[in-house]
Amino acid sequence: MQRELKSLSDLVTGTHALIHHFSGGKEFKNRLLVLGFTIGAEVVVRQNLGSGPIIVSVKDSLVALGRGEAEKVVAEVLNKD
Amino acid sequence: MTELKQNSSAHPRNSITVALAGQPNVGKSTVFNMLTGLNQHVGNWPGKTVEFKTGELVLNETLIHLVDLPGTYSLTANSEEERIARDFIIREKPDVVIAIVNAALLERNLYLVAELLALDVPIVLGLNMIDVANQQGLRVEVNVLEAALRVPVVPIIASKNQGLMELIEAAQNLAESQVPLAPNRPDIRPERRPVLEEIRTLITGQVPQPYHEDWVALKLLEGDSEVMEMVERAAPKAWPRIQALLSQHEDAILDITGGRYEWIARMVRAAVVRPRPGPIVLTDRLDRIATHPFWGLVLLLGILGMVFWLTYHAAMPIVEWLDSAIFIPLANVVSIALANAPLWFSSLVVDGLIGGVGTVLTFLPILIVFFTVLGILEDTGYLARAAYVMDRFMHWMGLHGRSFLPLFLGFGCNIPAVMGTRIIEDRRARLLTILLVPLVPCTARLAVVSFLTPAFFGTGAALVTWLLVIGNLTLLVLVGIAINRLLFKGAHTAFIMEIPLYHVPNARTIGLYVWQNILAFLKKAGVLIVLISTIVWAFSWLPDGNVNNSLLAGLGRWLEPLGRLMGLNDWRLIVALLTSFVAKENTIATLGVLYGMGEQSVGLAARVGATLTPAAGLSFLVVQMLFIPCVATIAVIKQETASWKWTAFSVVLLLAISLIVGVGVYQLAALLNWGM
Repeated sequence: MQRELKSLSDLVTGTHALIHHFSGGKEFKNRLLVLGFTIGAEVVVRQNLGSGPIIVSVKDSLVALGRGEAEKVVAEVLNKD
Repeated sequence: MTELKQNSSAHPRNSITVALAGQPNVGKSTVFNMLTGLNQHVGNWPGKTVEFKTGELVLNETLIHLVDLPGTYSLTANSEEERIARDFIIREKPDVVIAIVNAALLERNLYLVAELLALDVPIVLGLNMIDVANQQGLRVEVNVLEAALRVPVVPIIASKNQGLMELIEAAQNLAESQVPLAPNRPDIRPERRPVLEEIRTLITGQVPQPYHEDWVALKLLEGDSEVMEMVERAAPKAWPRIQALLSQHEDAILDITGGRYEWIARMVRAAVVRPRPGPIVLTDRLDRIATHPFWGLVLLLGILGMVFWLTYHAAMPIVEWLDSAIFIPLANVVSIALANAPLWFSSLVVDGLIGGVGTVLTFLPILIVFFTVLGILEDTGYLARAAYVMDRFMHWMGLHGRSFLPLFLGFGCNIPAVMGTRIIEDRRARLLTILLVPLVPCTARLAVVSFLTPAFFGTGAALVTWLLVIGNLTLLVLVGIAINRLLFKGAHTAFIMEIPLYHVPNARTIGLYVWQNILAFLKKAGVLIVLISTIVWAFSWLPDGNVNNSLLAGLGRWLEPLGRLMGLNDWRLIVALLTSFVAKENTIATLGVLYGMGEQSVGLAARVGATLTPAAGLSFLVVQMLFIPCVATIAVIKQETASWKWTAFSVVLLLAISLIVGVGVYQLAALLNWGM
């Protein structure tokens, strides 16, 4: 089953997705991994206004990501609720 | 518990060291404050700008040294805080590490515990905020978690002072017990096991003390830069092979972190019960406003408005009272007492020392208001929301939302603004924010401007004042962009910020936060302020006590050619600017003295205005708004950057900006033939 791959910044509020890969540098990747953005982890986009930072929930915690950072996180789209 | 107590007194030991570890937002500082109270010492880690807190308490005849490690998400060398935390555990070998976790956020918080376990140090888990977890429909079975992890787990509610004695007793018992703990440790995923083994073999016998070979091998595979450097130096022969292995397994970090989280999931699976699905919690409801693109801004501006209201209506009356009820009478009493002493001595004591100490103390009410509000905003979790809302506006300068609040506080007073930059974790962003704070016009500067502008510009005064403020803020943005491009090579730190759950602020935590900040200001900045104020006094007194003949006046006359470029043909104006160095509002007092009038005199502004063309008046105001920071601000810049180099840079930067803009404004006016 082929699912759609998208940057977190392109996901609308309410989307559930699974982390697929990162396109940023090592330190960037490490910081996200530590916060629970491991490969295959489920995230929910809690707020995406189309510009500016977004809020994502992962492992019961809320994390704000700058727009540029969210662009570098690619996820597999699950559904929209 | 009582049984264990007797055990500990059977093996009396004088003192033990307990380190307190935890991720940010787990209530670790509340635990520390509750346990140590005022019995704590705040400083910096040697050679670092990271805060170092230690405290002491006595329990069952044992002296417990409690060391509060910096709050970190992991123990990889990603940040200075993480290096400090792990170096302390590895090198100082505390008897026990208490790891504080938030029960409502157990999985994420246990990540740090997974890393601590790899360091082979005795651990006690403090399961905090069990009340918050319950509210969210979560229940953590302490016994099950304890059995899974095989480390002592103590449920606590730090903000209500519940369970803390049991926690520290558990740490003491562990430190004094003879039975080594065999905790469950996270294992690496099978596919990476052979390479870990190979690296482990390659470094055997070559790792410097006190590092453990298992831990070093694991950190190498994680790509930890500090450990890689260490091994390259310690094992130069094996290094090429290790390096080759590491580049083949560059993505091992994905498996290691993923593996740790899988291990955590196994640990908590049986221990965390969700009797009912998580209700829509308070956080969600509050965030509909706090992070809303419009209402979030309204809320933030409302809160900031309240800060300034408190400053003017609560802090300023106290400042004025201190002045009129204490310092002026004190100065009078002292001058009478010193009537027979040499004139210079009584002037030194009254104008120099009492004046300097007065400057320091009059800042206290303002600092108390600012730090109380900042402490509440931080402790409730709102600060992260404010940073999120403001982030989009701070990006041009390479800054994040977190820099907005200190900068905005600068309108009240630059001193708490500089100290408030502590909420910015990233060192580069923090330094840049500190350098930009003095460009925010503080109340004292605005007071000088609003005193002089009506006399200079009549009905246009409001417009000119507004333009001056806008001018300052425009320069702030431009200077921010320039410093970021030139000095920091346009570096941009990733904006990744946890948004904590809201919680009720803890009075003791906030009280201690205010107290520690005030104490730091008095100890570090206070001395410097009194010292510099006294030096400036000496310049205005020497050689004969008449300011008109003083060294300061001489300096002003010597600088007159420079002043002329700005249309300031009168050395008295230059001296007024120079004395604003002690305190910005001094400009008016100095003008009063030099123009031979009382400082409150309504005629003063008009008299000064009469000697100046509008263009010269404008350039004077521009320079006043941009001039080097006051002594107190410089002292806190030194305190917060821990660097004379950056402090000097800030002074030179503002001196250059104020002179260039002052000359520029006057010359432009001359070119356009306006107000000459």
